[in-house]
Amino acid sequence: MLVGMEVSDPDRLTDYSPDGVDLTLIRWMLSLTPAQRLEFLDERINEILLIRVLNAGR
Amino acid sequence: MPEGKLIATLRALHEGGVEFILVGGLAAVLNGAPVNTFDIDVVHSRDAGNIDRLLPVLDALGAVYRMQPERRLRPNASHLASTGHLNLIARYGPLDLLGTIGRDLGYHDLLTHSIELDIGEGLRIRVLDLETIIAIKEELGGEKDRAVLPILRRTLEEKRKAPGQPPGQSQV
Repeated sequence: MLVGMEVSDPDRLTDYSPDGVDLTLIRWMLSLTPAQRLEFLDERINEILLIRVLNAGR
Repeated sequence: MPEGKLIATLRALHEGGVEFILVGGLAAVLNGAPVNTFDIDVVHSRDAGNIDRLLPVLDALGAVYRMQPERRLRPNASHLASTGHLNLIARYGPLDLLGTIGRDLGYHDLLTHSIELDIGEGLRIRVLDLETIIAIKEELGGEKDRAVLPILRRTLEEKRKAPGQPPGQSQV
C-alpha cells in the first residue's frame, strides 16, 4: 500500500506509455462503470461551461 | 441527483424508441478512454419507421442545425434518410446525427460492432466498441483522429489486460 507512505521518488508513481499516454489515467477510467464515466464527463463539461460563462469575453 | 445533460439527450432518444448507436468521443469515454468531448455523436437507423420515431424526439429536444442557428432550421425526414452528417444543437447541447461513418458504415453495419452499456438510471444504450472506434479513426487518418489514437489504443490494451469489465458492461 502506498497510502500514507512517504514517497522519495514520485517518478516511480507515474506510468506513461512510450508514446506519452498516461496509463494511470486510463486505469482509473477503467475502474469506473460506464455510468460513472458519463456522470464524471457531464460534471466536467458543466464546470468548464460555468468557467467559460464567468469569463465571457476574455 | 439531477439528471445530467448527456444522459437526458440519450434518454430522450431511447424513450422515443429510436434505434441508434453512440459513436465518437462519448462512446470512447464510455469504453473507458480518458478523452474529452462536448457533443453527442450517434449513427441512427435510416429505416423509415425509425426516422418517423426520431423526428418527434428531435422536435421535443428543439434540435436545429448548428449552422445559422438563428434561422432555426430543423432536419426533415429526407435529411435523416441521407448518409451525411447532421450537425445539430439541441436543448441539452450539440447533437450530431450521422447517417454513416467511416467507409459508408450505417447503423446495420455497425450493430454487430456495438456493445450494450448501462449508463445509469436504468438506461441501456448501444455504444460502438473500442476496437471499431480505433479502426474507423485509423481509416479516416485525419489530424484530429490521429491525435486521439494513442490514448484509444492504450485504453484497449489496458482493457485486455484487465481481469474483468466493470459492472454494467456486457457484450451483445
